[in-house]
Amino acid sequence: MELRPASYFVLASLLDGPLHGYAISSRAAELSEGEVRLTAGTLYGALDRMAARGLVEVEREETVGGRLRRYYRLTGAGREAVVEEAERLASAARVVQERRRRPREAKGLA
Amino acid sequence: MSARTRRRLVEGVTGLASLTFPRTRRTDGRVVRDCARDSVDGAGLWALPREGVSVAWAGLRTRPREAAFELRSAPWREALSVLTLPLAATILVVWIFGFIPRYDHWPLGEGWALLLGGSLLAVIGAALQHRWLTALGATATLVAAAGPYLGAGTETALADTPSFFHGWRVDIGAASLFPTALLIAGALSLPRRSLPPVRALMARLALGLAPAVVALVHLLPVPQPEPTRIYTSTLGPGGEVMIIGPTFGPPYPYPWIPSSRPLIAALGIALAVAVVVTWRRARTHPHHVLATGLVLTSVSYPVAWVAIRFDPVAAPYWLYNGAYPLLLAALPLLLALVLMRRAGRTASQLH
Repeated sequence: MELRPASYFVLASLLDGPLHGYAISSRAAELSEGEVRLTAGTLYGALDRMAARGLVEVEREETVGGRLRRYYRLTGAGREAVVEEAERLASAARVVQERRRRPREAKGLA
Repeated sequence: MSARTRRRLVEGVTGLASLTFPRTRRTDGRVVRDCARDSVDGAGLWALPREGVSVAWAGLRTRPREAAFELRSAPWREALSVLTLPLAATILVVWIFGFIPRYDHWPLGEGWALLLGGSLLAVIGAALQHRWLTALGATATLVAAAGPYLGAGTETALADTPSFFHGWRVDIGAASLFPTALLIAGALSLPRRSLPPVRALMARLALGLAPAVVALVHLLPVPQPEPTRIYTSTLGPGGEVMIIGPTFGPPYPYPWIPSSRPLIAALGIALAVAVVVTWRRARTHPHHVLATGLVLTSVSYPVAWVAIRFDPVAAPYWLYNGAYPLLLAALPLLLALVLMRRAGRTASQLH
């Protein structure tokens, strides 16, 4: 199952444990080095879709400083999906890296 | 800008945006709103418009899904079954109003035999909660009512048959077609079960026939029925228009019911009472409010014509054949949708 970059980084941000919405979006931005910036509406839309696909689930809700926070955690399927996607991306990256290395090696041999 | 003003601004904008969430998803709206507030706190005030729009959009995006879910959860089958008796009783009254004042010869033609017999059979079937009896009666009524509009029995070309809502009159015969089709659907939704106890059956039968009895009391005795007057125009030798007539045609060549104020008033009051009563009872009986919504949908176009015809929203003549009736028909349709939505929402909460 191929994941969109936003979904990938949302799932990746939950690898270390349950997080609430704002923490997920901050972590996703940090992991993607600013590539993925999610607004609250987009983030919860994505989380809703991922919950429907069984990739994440709501862990708890709590009110902090008068603000309601909903914590999400990865399910087994979610963890599997993000690991698979990471391997797919790594293998895709390897193809290009090997091709970039080969001409240099060829030049060295010559 | 002071910190207090800033906080108020952020809370005001995000709070307003979160109002787009439907009532049933209010907690989700609060979670998204508070997340947006955290984001604005973290990123600065420049993020407020972006976050505000995203919260509003998230709320709007959930609405169609929520509405679809509510409509899916609505008790359609129960609603269709519950409307059979009142609808069959109303259709019988409509045809009695068409028949009594103008029909003056016997035996009955097959059209009238089907209309009156069919609608009476539908009432009896609905009282017995008998699926096939009700469906048979309603189908006979529908066939006889729709036939003349397709040219059957009028001995005229299809183009000359009366249009459904020509001129300023409200053709109640044509207006009965959709409700009769709805009655067939209702009949087919009746649960398969044995007859109700005799006492309940008699009560239902009395309830179903009571409006017809009231109509008969109102209409009888009938003064001399009016024959159909036919005026024909032709061009005279000098090119002037000459009116020939009146000649008297058969008393009632097709089931066209003249606009009757008492009938329209009675139907309007019954519909208004049904809307109010079922709306108030929606919490415990969502299928009743859904049934009212369905009936209102089936008569929304005639209701628009009645509104045009009678004084409260009378419009100039040139509007009659334009978009005005359609625009006006949207109002009862909108009310019907609100009723159906309420039924769906209540039913989904009960589930």
